[in-house]
Amino acid sequence: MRPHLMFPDGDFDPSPPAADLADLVEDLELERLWAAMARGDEVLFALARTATLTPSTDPAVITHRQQVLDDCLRDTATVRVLYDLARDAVAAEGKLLRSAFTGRPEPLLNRAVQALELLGGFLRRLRRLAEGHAADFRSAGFTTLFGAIGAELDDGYLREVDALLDQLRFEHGIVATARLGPGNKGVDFVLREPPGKGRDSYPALRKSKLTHTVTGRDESVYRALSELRNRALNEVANAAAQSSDHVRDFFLALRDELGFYLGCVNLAETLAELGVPVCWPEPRDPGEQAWAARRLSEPCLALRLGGAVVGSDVDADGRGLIMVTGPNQGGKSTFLRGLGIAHLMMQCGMFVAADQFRASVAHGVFTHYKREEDATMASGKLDEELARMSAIADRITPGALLLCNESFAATNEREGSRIAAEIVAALTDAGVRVVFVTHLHDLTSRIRADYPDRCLFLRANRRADGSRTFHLTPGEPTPTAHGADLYRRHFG
Amino acid sequence: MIRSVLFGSSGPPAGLDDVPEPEHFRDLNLDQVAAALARDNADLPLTPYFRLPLRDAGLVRARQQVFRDLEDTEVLAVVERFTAAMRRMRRRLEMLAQVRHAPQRQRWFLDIVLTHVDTLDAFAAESHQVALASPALRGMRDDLGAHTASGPFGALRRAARDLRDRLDAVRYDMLLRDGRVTVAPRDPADDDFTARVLATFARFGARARRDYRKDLSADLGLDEIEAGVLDLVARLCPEVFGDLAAFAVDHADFVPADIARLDRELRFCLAYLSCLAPLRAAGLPTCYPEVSDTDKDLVAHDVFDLALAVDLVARGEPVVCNDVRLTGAERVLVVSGPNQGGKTTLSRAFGQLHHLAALGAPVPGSQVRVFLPDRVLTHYERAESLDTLSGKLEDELRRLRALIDLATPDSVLVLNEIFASTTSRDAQALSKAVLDTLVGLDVRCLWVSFVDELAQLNPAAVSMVSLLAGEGDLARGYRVVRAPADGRAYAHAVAERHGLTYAQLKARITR
Repeated sequence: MRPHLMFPDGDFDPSPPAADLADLVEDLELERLWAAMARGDEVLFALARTATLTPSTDPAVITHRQQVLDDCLRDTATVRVLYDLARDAVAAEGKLLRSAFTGRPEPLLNRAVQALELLGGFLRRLRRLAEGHAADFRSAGFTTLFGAIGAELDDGYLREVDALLDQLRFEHGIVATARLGPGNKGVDFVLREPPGKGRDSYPALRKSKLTHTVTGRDESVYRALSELRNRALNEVANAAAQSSDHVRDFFLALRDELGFYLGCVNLAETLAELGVPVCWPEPRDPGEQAWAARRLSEPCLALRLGGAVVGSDVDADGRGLIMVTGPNQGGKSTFLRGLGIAHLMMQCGMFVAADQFRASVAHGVFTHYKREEDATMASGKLDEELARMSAIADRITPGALLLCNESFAATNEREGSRIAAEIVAALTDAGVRVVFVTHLHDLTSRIRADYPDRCLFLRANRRADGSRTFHLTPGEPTPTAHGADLYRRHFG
Repeated sequence: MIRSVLFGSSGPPAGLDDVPEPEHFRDLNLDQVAAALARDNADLPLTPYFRLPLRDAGLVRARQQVFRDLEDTEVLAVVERFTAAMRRMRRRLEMLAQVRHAPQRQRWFLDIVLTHVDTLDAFAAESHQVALASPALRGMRDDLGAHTASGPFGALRRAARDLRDRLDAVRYDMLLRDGRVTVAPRDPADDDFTARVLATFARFGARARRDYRKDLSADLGLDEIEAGVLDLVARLCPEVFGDLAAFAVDHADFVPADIARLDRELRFCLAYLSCLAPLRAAGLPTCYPEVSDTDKDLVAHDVFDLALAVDLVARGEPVVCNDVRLTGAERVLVVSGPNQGGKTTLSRAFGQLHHLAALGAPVPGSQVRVFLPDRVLTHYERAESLDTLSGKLEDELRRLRALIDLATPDSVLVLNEIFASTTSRDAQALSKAVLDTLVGLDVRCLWVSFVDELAQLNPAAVSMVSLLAGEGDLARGYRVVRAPADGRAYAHAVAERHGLTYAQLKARITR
């Protein structure tokens, strides 16, 4: 029995992704997104982090999650109650003294029995909750989960568990069968059904006069007796401990999978308060080269500014490259982040901050940003940038998305443009989609000349008064824009 | 009866284990080799074999064949399995003496016997599956076959296995409650409570993420409770435990002396070969010498000091090999040259060669032809200080006298730097006198001497000098070669190392 709310047929691994994604996190300012999802809950933060950083490329998985999330958004109260239940079960189990057992079988068994008793109570509550709300949920994920809870955790089963836990206390002694191993040492203990109160079981043992009785005060003898009990209980203690782990793990998985959706619910509520429009994105096959958006905005900016921001339209179906130009402070970086975040949110099953978003799923999102803080010499910077690009090239595959922000601007324009143009050409030829924010005019004109059909050109705009719009429009780069902007910055 | 593989049908000589360390062991550093063999094989006394050279060329050749057989990796593996099993068995028997609890000790004893039966059966069978060329090992194979097929051995095998099967079939139930352990025959119901626990919770996942089981049976000993339970089990099954006790009494001496001897003799061969193994791995040559008890010529290529080589190879340092020849009318090799030139090392290699060849073992060197001497006599400077130089000279002369008294035309003599404590005039005169005595005795001798012209004083003497090894490589050190001791050979070597010999210089100029 597993929750399967994240994957129709599989478990969600909540552990942080192994790859070094520090650049991506920093460049897309993802921590702000996770903080909004977590609302101070560290568990929710970690889950938001893992889910967004492990985007799925399987439309079936994305649809599965969209449907589960849709259920959650329609009944947020029940989701919160379920999450609290799972979280409390995990926490209560964790509070049981783990330090008390040294790994010896008997203490291990005692703790496992305690844990199973405790978790049994939570199982009963879970079943009552599921029974009460099953009718309100329609996604495949919740329907299957609630169905399984009803079927697997019926009264008969829960009573059977109680009876078994009772037996595991071995109140009337332990019976084990053994044989003679090396040196006639008793080995291969098989633990038998614990004897009951009555006289009906184990007649031979009850009649037997062959009894070894421990007397006296010698501590080593009592240790030896305890050792024999431990050997007899070794297997069953393992079985009980593993069973209790499994039940605990069920609650843990339930907590983690629900936790992701609860984070989504939190974010949806906040964005709604801020008036940021959201929509269910349409994930498409990578081969379609779908890339279209209406009023795509950057949710983190909205969170930071505390209000809705104007989004941009993208019509880049069939294109593998978007070049973004225009003056500084014109919303280029915001657009780049917004597009990257939209891909990550779509591919982890979330809604997207846009009126409409349709895109081929990306096999990984990568960022290559100019590092402002780097105060080394220009050649050293170029070297550093190329090293980072090389590290990306080690990991990137066809179908991935690369977001470049003023890459290779550290060197002179000709050299930087030439390097960038070759890299861009190689990447896009290889099937990597690239969004490139740049002031390198040589680069844009080279791309426009060589790949007129491959590239969508977007321009950042500023109002006449110089104020920001965050709204990009289609438009070819103009050679004077950069210079005029600079001139204004320094002499204006 | 299993025949000796080292001494043939006559068997090992009486008093083998009382053979004292030969006088020459210390001078030739063979004591170091013996100590290394003993250190690596502390469980068996192998030194007597190493101390006892053979004079019978036929027996030496027979041993060489045994060694050759053991060079085959498959034969080696079979023999090593046997000797390793024997080694384990002896250790287990020693440990058994410390087990006080009878039913436990008797079971261990049975186990040891079972293992031993398997060891011999396997050795007998496996020795048929490998190619054995030596008559000694072929004879051993036949003897082993006869032994394992014999009535007494078959009876031992049967008795041991029958007892084991009966013990293996014993099953009992234990009830542990409070401070009591009760034992009874196994209850016929075949339930497994652990399986039921797992099955009950299987719906939450079947994959075990963690194994909590403790390896609680790692300790093979029995504590008091286990011993108490075992006593109860013995009472539960009195017949089988009675037979177990009787078995231990009846078969207390289950390893016949000839099997023990076979193991020990084979172990000597393996020990010697494993001493050579690192040297061979380092590329040093070893060979089976052509031995004779009549032909006194010595021809040996690439010989080296075994004891020194073991040290150098362990430290990863190079070993210098030398050629030695003493044929026809030649009787005395006079070795001279600069200090640190490997003269003493060569003298040890020369002496060792005669001893090792007489063991029937492979020796350092390639293409060796050697006479089996009646004894190897050595004279090296002794470290113990004497009060005066004249006392030292006197001591040297006394020792030399004793050596020469022992020497026969069949002996080999090694003299190292004698008469160093007197004037060179005296040394030369004394050396000449000794040299003439030696030639008169018709004894073979290698003599390391600082008296350069010694070799010219008697036509039976041959000069060898140490000089730097081939060009360019100082690390290769010195070689000792046959050359007149006129100092020129050394100069030549230095020139060669710098690429400035006539031929080298000419070739470089004309290129």
